[in-house]
Amino acid sequence: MPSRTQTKPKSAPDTAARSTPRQARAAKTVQKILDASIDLVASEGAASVTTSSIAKAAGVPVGTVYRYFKDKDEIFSHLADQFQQEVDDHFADFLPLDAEAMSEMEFLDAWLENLIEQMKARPAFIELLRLAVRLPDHYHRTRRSTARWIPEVGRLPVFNALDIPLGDRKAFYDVWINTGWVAMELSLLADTDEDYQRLKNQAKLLLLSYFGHYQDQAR
Amino acid sequence: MPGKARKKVGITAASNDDGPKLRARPTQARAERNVANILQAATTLVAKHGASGVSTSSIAREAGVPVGSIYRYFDNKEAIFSALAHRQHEEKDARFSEYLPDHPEDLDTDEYVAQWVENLLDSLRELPAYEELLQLAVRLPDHGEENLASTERWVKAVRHLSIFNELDIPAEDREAFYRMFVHAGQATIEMALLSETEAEYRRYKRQMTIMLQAYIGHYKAGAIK
Repeated sequence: MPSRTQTKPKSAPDTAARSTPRQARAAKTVQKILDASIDLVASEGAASVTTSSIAKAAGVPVGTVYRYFKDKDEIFSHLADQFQQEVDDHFADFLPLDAEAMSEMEFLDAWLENLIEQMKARPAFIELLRLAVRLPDHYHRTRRSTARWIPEVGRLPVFNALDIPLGDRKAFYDVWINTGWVAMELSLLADTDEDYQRLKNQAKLLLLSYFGHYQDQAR
Repeated sequence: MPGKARKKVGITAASNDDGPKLRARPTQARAERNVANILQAATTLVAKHGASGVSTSSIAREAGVPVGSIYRYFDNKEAIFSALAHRQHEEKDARFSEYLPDHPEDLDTDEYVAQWVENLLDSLRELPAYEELLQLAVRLPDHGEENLASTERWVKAVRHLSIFNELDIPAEDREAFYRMFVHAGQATIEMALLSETEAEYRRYKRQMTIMLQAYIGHYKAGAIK
């Protein structure tokens, strides 16, 4: 099942931190460091953030930062994990799982539109995305996320209504979701608001037409 | 406009100013050969052992040069990998140009897309160690940027294709359409080429064709309701 239950980003990061915070206070410190990093990345851009500026913003000594993280890159990697987790949660939040009578366009309006707008509304998200696409494991991180969603979209009524040959289904879901990711990224990384709107509409159109192919088959 | 001036389509300026970052620019033919040798050796080793099993000293041994001569041109192993990834992007660009048909107006749109996907993917796959190098490239910090830059280069090329010009795309949406088309295409190329099995590769290739045909189909004359 998708992460409906784990709606909030985990306070303890996925990958083993240098020293594992055993107590609640330590976990809080780690989260404080991560939150301060997000703010700094959003306000100054990833390139100009340093471990000492993070420590200052979090209100902890630099030594504390190094207790939990090897370096800046490790903090960024945790941020990207957290970012992906939040995107996944929104993915779940906006999925109209029980909407039987929804058309493909209504589905895209309810899901992709909301998902992209939700991220666009938070400047820190965009900065994190800028950072995430620069990380060495970005490709694998999004591919993992896609793999997680393949069985889920397969259960959605809009996808179920399509007439897709059994052997092609997994590839269809995979390409559909992966295209959704890259289309979302391309829109969110747009330089101007106008660009963003246009790219977002094209993203919906692309996914809609792709649906359409198998809808025609069904008729 | 169909039948109008056959504009030369393709990618020409892919890498004039953004070549791999070398410590020293190879000025003489011999030095250039050295760099080419090093990259060739690195490709061979990556194909054989994967990126993690390669070191600068093993590259030097394979290339038949002293380790010091590697460090003359590259800071470290990562710089070599980065140069390999960059070269792979150039090769992808070159293949992309090669398979854009000269007289696209003679071809049906769907058929054109199907042929393009088929030819491009199959030809990329035939390049030496393409999959291993792609595995390596997707892990590099500038992979996202390289892809976006490559998208912009491809957009410039497809903009002139008469096959796209014949579509009923509102003028203000064209750029966004091209970028979405190319970017989605590139992401799917990666997926397909990183497939683990032959059957999977064929399925992704088929889905890529269907997706791009459907997207274009939306703008075919008379398709908009």
